[in-house]
Amino acid sequence: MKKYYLGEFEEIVLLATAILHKKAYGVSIKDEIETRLGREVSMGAMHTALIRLEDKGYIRSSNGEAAEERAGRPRKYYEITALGKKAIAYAKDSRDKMWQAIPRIVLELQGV
Amino acid sequence: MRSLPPRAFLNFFRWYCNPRIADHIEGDLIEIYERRRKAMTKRKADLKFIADVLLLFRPGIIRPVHGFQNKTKFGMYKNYFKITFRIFNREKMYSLINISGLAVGFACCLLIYLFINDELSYDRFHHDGERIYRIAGAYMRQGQWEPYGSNAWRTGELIKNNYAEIEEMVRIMPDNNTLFEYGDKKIVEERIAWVEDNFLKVFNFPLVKGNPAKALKGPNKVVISESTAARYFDTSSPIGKVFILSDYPLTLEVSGVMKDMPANSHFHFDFLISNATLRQVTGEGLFTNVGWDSQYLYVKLAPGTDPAKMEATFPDFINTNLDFWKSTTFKLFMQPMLSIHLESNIGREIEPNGSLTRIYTFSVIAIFILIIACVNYMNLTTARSLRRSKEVGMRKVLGAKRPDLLGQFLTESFVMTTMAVLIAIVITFLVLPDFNQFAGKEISRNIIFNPTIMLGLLVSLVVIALTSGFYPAVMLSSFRPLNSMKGNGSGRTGLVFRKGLVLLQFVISIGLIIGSTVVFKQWDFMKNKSLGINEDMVVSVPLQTIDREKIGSFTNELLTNKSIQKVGFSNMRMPGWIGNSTGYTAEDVDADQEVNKSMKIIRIDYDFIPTVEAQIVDGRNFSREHPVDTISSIILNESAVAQLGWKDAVGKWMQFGNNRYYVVGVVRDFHFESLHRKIPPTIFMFSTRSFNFAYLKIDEQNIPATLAHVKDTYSRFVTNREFSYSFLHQDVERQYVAEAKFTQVFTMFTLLAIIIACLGTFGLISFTAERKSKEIGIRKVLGASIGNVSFLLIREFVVLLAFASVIAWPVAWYFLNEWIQTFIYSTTIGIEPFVVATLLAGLIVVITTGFRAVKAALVNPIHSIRNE
Repeated sequence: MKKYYLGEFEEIVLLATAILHKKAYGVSIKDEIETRLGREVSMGAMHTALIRLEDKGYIRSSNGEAAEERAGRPRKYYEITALGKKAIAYAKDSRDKMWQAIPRIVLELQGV
Repeated sequence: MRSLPPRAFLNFFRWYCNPRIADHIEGDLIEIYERRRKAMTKRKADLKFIADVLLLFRPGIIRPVHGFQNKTKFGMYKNYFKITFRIFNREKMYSLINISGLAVGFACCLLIYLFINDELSYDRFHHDGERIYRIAGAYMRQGQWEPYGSNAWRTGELIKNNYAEIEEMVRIMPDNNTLFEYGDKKIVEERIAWVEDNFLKVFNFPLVKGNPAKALKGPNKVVISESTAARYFDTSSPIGKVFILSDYPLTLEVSGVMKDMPANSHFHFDFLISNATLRQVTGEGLFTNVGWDSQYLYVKLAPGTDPAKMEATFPDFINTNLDFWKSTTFKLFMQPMLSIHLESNIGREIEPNGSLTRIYTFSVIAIFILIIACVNYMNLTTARSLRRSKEVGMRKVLGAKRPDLLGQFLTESFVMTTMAVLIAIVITFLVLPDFNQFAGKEISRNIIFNPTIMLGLLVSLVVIALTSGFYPAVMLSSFRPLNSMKGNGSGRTGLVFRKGLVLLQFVISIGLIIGSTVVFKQWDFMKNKSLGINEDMVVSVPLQTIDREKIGSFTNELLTNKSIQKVGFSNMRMPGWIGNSTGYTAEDVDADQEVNKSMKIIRIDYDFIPTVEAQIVDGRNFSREHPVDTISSIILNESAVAQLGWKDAVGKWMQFGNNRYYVVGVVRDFHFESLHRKIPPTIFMFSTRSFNFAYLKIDEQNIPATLAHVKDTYSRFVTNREFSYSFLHQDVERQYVAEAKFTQVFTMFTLLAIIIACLGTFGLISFTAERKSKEIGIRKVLGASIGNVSFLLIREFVVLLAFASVIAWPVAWYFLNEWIQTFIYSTTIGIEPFVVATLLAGLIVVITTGFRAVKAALVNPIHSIRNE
C-alpha cells in the first residue's frame, strides 16, 4: 500500500486549499484556516507547508494576476492535485478506521 | 497615500528568500500588512510584519547557498553536450576536418614550443648565471671588427688583476682528439677541457663523487662525467684511478665524478683536466703571449656590477696593458652567458650555437599554423550555420536567449578543441623521438606533462576555443527566428568575413611556400656554389699523430697506388676556419695605411694547389725546381693582391714575422672557409712539415680499394689513432647542416600548414556545393555543362587566390630580402619562388576543390531540385 506522508499542519493547509478551490493563494489560505479553526497561522509555517506540499506533488501552483493591494506582486494560486486528493482521502480514511476502532466505552466516558 | 512596511525588513526578506518564491510571498506579506494597517496602528502592523518576516526565515524559504539555479543549469549543460555529440555524428566529415586540422596545428605548435622552450633554457641551470659573462675579443680586419669567442691566457690574467669587480675568473681551454688509456681500454676522447680549479665553483655541475673545492686543485687531476666513468670503470669506484695520455706523455688521476653536463649547456665536456697540468705539456708562450687565443674567459661579476661600465674601460685597459694590441686593432667585450647560445654567433664558438632568427621564424610559423587551423574551424562552423539556422530559430522560439545559444556554440567549440588538444598531445608524444632526432634535441617525453606546459595548453585551449568559437557563436545566435525558420537570409551572412578568412589562409600558405622555396634555394646555392676549386674525388685525411718528419715517405707510399693521382698537404682543415693571421708591411704600400689590416696564413706544400685544382692566375705554384721556395716564397690570393693595391704582384715583397717574402704567384680567390665568411686576403706559405691534413686526389676506379690502400699506409705511420677520412665535397656540404635542417623543418611545417589549409578549403567547397545544389540543378536543366558548373564553384577560390598572391608577394619579398641579406654569399630571390608559390597553391586549390566541384556538377538535377 502506498504511503502518503502528510503532517498535521500540512493536512490542514491541503484541506484549506481544496476548500478554496481555484481561489487558494497565500492570504486566502491563511484566512481560511484562521477563520475555520480559530488559530493564528504564521506566514512562515504556511509557506513552508505549501512548498513541501508542492514538492510532494499534492498541490500545483500557477501564477495569477498582479493585484493593486499587493503592490503589484502576482498571486500564486494553488490547486489540489489528484495525488493530493488521494492523500487527504487516505488521511481521512485512516482516521475513520481508527475512530471506528475506538471502543464505545471510551467515547462515552469522554462524553460525560 | 500608501504606507509601506518597514523597508529594512522587507529588504531582509528579499535578501534571504529564495527568488523563485519571493515574489508572491512578498505579495502576501504586503496584502496582509495593508489589511492590518486598516485595522490597527502602523506601529502594531509594523511589528506584526516584522514577526512575519522573521518567522518566514526558515529552511525551504531561505535561498539555497549555492545559487538556486544549479539544477537547471546542469540540465542545460548536459543538453549542450548532447547536442554537440549529435551534431558531431550528423556531420562526421566536417567535424573530422575540424578536429584533425586543429589537432595537427596544435601538435605543430606544441613541438615548436618544446623546441623553443629547450633553446631558451640553455645555461639557466647555473646559480647566479646572470652574473656570469664571457669576455670575448674582436680583431680589426679589413676595416671591420671580427669577433671571436676565445682570448689569450695572459689577457685573462691581466683582466683579473685589473678589475676588482671580477669575483671569479675561469679559463677554459677545450681540447679534443686525445688518446686516453686505462688498463686495456684505449679511447680517443673528444670532449675535453683544461679548466681552472674554480670551474666547479662558478658553474653548476654537481659532483657525484669527490670534493668540488679540491677536485681540480693541483696538477694531474681530472674530473670525469658519470657516463665516462661507466665507460672506463664499469661499476668500480673511479676515484684515484689513473689515466695515461701517451701523446704528451702525461698521467691524470681521477679526483671527481660529475653528473653529465645537461644537453642545454652551451658546452659539453667529459673530461675536466686541472689547469695546473697545462704547464707540463705546453710552452711558456701560451701563458705570456697576449696574441695566443687558446682560452675562453668566463667571469663572475660581483653583484651589482654594470658590465657596460666595465666594457667602457676596456679600450684604455688594452692600450696600457696588452703589449702590441691597441684599442684600434683589438677590442674586448662581454657576453652574458645566458645569451651565448642564442645570440652569440661569433668565431670559434665552443660548440655550434642556436639562433634567435630561427626561433622567431619557428614561432611565426607555429602561430601561422594555428591561425590556419582556427580559421578552418571558424569557416566551417559559420558555413555550416545554414543547416543549423532552423535549429537556432526553433530554440529562440522556445525561449532560448542569446547567452544560452552562445553557450551551446561555445560548448561545441570547447568540446572540439579539447578533443583536438588531446589528439595533439598523443601525436606529440608519438613523434617526439623522431622530432628530437630531426632537430638534434634531447627533449624528454615527460616534459609534455609538466605543469607549465599543461597549464599553457589549457590556456591556449581556452583562448582558441573562444576565438574560434566566438564568431560562429555570435553569428549563429543572431539569426532572427522568422528568417531562419523560413530558411532564407542567413546563407549570405558573414560571407565577406568568411572570404576574408580564406584569403588570410591563402596569404599565409602562399607566403610559406615562397619562404620555403627561397630558403631551399639559398641552401642549394650554398651547397652547390662553385668554390673556385674542384672538390670532387678529393679525400681529406687528418694526419693526427703522424711523425711529421716522415711525411715524405708517407706520400711516396700513398702514391704507389695508381688510383691516387696527387697528394697535397695543408696545416688547415679544408673547408674550415683559417686560424692564423698576421699584420704585415709590403712593397709600395704605405705602412701606416696597412696598420689595421691583416691577412690569413695557410701553410701548404708543392702539391696542395694542383690537388684541389685552384687556379694560378699569375706567376707560378711552389716548385721543387726553385729551392728558394722553401725559404722565402709566398703565393697570394686575389683578395690579398687587391688589399695591397698591387697591379703586378709577382716579384714584389711582403714582410711579416720579421721575415721578408717574395710573391711568386697569385691564385684565384677560392673558398677555403665556408660561405658564411667572405674570402679573406690570404697568404699561402710554403712548409715542408707543419701539416695537419692530407688531401688526396683519386680517380673513380675502385674507390674502396684505394681507400683500403690509404688506410693500410696510414696505419703503418700512425699506430695510436684510428684512420679516418672524408670526401671533400661532403665536408663542404656538411658546413651547411644548419641550413639543411632549417630548410627541412621549414618545408615540413609549410607542408603541414598547407595540408591544414587544404582540409579547410575542401570543407568549404563541399559546403558551397551543397548550398548551391539547387542552383546547379537549375543551371544544368537550362543546359550548363559539367565544366561550366565546376568552374562556377571553383571560380570564387581562384579569385581569392589571385588576391592572396597580390598580398603575399610583397610581404614575403620584404622579409625574405631581410633574411637573405644576412648571408655574405647569397642567391638572388628572383621571381620564380613567387610564381612557383602561386602556381603550386593554385594547383592545390584546383585539385582540392575540383574533385568536389565535379562531383557536385555530376549530380542529376532531378535529385537536387525535386524537393523544395
